[in-house]
Formats: sequence, structure tokens, C-alpha cells
Amino acid sequence: MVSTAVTLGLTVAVLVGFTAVGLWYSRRTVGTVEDLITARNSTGTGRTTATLVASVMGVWILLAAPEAGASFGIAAVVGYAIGEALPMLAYSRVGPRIRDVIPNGHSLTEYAHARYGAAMYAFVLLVSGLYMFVFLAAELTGIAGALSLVAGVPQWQTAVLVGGFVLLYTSYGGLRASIFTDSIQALLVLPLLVVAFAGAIVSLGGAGTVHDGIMSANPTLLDPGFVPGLQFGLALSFAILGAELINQTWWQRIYAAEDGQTVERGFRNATIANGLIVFLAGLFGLVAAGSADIVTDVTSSAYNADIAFFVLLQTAFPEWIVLAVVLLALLLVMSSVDTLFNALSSIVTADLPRLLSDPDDRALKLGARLLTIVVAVSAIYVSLRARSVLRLFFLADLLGAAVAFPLLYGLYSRRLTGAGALVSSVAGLAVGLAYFPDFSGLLRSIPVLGDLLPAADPLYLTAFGGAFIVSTATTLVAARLFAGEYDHGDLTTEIQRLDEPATDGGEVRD
Amino acid sequence: MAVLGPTLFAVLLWGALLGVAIVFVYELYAIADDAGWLEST
Repeated sequence: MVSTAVTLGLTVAVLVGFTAVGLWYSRRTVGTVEDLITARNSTGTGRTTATLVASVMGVWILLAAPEAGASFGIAAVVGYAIGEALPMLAYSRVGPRIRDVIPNGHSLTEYAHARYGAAMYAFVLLVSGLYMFVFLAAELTGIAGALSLVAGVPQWQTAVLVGGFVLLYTSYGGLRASIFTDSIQALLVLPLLVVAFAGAIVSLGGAGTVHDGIMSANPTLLDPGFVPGLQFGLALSFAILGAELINQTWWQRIYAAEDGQTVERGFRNATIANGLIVFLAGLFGLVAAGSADIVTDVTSSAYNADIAFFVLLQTAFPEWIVLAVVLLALLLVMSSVDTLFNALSSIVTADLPRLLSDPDDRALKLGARLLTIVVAVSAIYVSLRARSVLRLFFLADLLGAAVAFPLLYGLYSRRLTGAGALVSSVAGLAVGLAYFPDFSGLLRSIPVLGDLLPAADPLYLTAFGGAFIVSTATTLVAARLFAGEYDHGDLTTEIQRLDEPATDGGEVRD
Repeated sequence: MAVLGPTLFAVLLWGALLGVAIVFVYELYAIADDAGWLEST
């Protein structure tokens, strides 16, 4: 175990450094509320790709991805990597469309309100907000647990330090500060990942020794055709695709990019980058299973696959590798947490002009900053109190899988109505819940309904896949049956820039 | 399906590391390009 003082010192130094950089950059670039939540047309391909990589790559890549690898093997790792890559690929096509039809937009919730009405808006707000908040709280829980494990840092200290410092620069500099620090964090995370992981393989005796260890521990982990691994991998693909398609983070970055072509290139690059990073991180679950004492039986009190990588780290690795991983984990958390603070604040800020009577730019900026503080304090509190926050992750994924396609199909279809989108989402959710293994006892205790439900799927495939496929199919049927004739031009007139409420057309290129 | 042999496993492991390293080099280049540092005078 590395020293608590050294780890805390490193943590504070990194946090202070990035807070200073974020504040310094924001002083020159933040003028209006648009800068805080949209940073419109400000990033080229390099910075767009960097922020797309840094935003989603949180400490979960050192926790959840290795867990999937250690528990279900190479097939699940491939599924996880595809799951992370697919939403980026989807947004490389959908992103330019979003800019075309909503040139002055800010958030997916304001689109949901303008396109589908209040009911679907409320549903999307709930689902997107829940997913991002759970992601945020899980990141803070994850880093607090990781530093506690490798260096004995009290969990509350890590959560308060990380949440507090990130809040400082995010509440002041908003999205511009987040994207600027993301660029630096991505340039540090990528080489750290390579150096720490390569150092770990060499320390363990090379790839051959690692392979021998996995074969001794559990050879099915190396079987690409291992059926439970394939099922879980496919389930993850549906879950992540659905959840990321309702993640406000991406909508903000679609508008932050210079133009539609930059959006397309940035998301295409992120498809490859994110897929590769998750594949590498997942492979380290196999490495851990073959080289450390990893318990993958979820019913056992000794279950530790969820921290497989950090268990591996404790087995005779040089201190420099441990410190490199601590630094890596911190950078990963900061880049995600600042993104999520800002994204959660922005989905409400974008709606303030509708909720308040003609607020000026000063009031909106104040609102955005106050909302960021509320989000941050709530997330720190929940991360410290609710140990079961991770259980909510799959529920949020399920909701995302049910709502994603109906929400986005409205960008293309004139016929899909708000009622059609809502019914499709609810139908997908109902099927998903029927097979969902978490809270299964609760659902099955409902009189009459409980007896009708099919057996829950412990590998989640029918839950996530069912939710996504049924909501997609129902959406397509609803778009044919209902006689909606939506004019997408209405999105341009209804959704306006926050700093220029008049219909000026904005300054969006492409 | 047969399990991955040591050679294929090594290729996947080191290949993924090499892939991430290439992503880093590309990012460095692209961000420098965005900042205008690569423009010839």
C-alpha cells in the first residue's frame, strides 16, 4: 500500500492544478450563459475528440470494465467495447442532424419538449437526469473506494476534495472550462494508461505468464464463444447504447464543435478511441483474474470482481505503478465529474427561460452556477451515504434503452407524435422490466401481475435488448399508424439562443 | 469455440496498448493542429 500522505498530496496537487487552469481559461472566455452551457462553435476536431474521450472515460474503466472481464471473459469485454463505441458512431450521424434541425439548441430536454410536448419532456428529463446523476455519484463513490483501498485515504476526504475542487472551476467556467481541462486530461490519461498497463504486464512476467495464470484460474474467460459472456456482452451493448443516447453530455458537445463536419469527425474518432480504451481496460479484468485472488461469485461476501484491477494492483506492483494508477484514476474522475456537473446543470438551465418570466443573461448565469452547486453537493452527499448507488446504474441503463430510439427518431420522422413516442418508450420499459433481475422480488410480489411475469434474466440480455428492440419496433409502427405531420422547421423557431431571445438565426455554421 | 492461445492473447493485449498509444499520438497532433501550432510560417 502506498502512503496515505503521498496519495493525498498528489490528489490535492492535481486538483489544485486543474482548478487553477480551469479558472484561468474561463476568465478569458466566459461571457454569457451560452458560454457556460453550450460553448457554441468553439472546438476543432482534436479538442472535440479529446472531450468526447475524456468525458465518458471515468474511473469506471478501472472498475466496471475489468469486472466484466474477470466475471465473463473476453466475449463480455468485446461487448463492452462495442457498447461504448456504438453511441459515438450513432452520434457521428445523428449529431450533424441535430445541428441542422435545431441550430440554436442546448439540450435534449428542450428538444423533447418542443418536439413531443410536456409528457415526453418529463419522462426524458427524469431518465436523462437519473442516468447522469447515478453516473456522477458512482464516479465519486468509485474514486473514494479506490483511494481507500490502495492508500487508506478516508472515503469522505476523497469525495469532498474531488467534488469540491471540480465544482470550483465548473461552476465558474462551465462547459468551456470542462472542455479545456478535458483536452489536457485526455493527453495525460492516454499515455498514463499505456505506461501503467504496460508496466503491470511486464511486472507480472509478460503476456505469456499472464495467459498461463488465466488458463489455471478459469480457461472459459479466454473463450470468445463462452455463451454467458456473449449474452452479458450483448446486454451491455444495448444498455450502454441506450443510456449514452440520452446523455446530455453529447448534445452539449455537438453544439460546442465548430461545425457539422467537426461533429462527424470527432465522434468517429471517439468511436475508435473509446472502443479501444474499454477493450484494454476490460482485458485487465482477465489479467487480474489470472494473477490475483479474484472472487466472481456475486452471492459470496468475498466478492471482489468489482475492484479486480485494484486487487491486482496490490499484488507486488512497484510503487510507481500504483501512483501512476492513482493519478490516472483521479484524472479520469475529474474529466467525467466536471462534464456531468455541467450537463446536469444545463438541462435545467436551458429550460429556465420557459419557467421564469423573461430572465436576463445575468439571472441565467446565476441560475446555471447555483444549479451546478446543487448538483455537486447532492452528488457528494449521495456518494457518501448511498452505498447501493451502483445498483441504480442498471435501472438507469434500462430506462435509457427504452427511451433512446423514440426520442431520437423524432429528429427524422414527421409522423411520430408525442403520444406515439411516449407509448413506445413505456412499452419498451414494460418489457425490459419484466425480465429485469434487479428488484425482481419487488415486482413479483405485486398481486396478479407478479404471477404473469416471465423469469428474470440474470444476464440482463432480454431486459436491455427487449427494452431497446420493443421500443424501436413500437416507434416504427406508431410512426406509420399515427397521422402526425410535424414540421421540423418549428424546432428552429421555438428553440432560441439564451443570450439572444429574438429570432436572429444564431451563428451556427453548417 | 477454442480458447485464445498465448500468442493471440499477447497480440490482443499488446495490440490494444499500441492502439491506445496511437490514439494518444493522433490526439496530440490534432490538438496541436487545432491550436495552430502546426501551421508553417
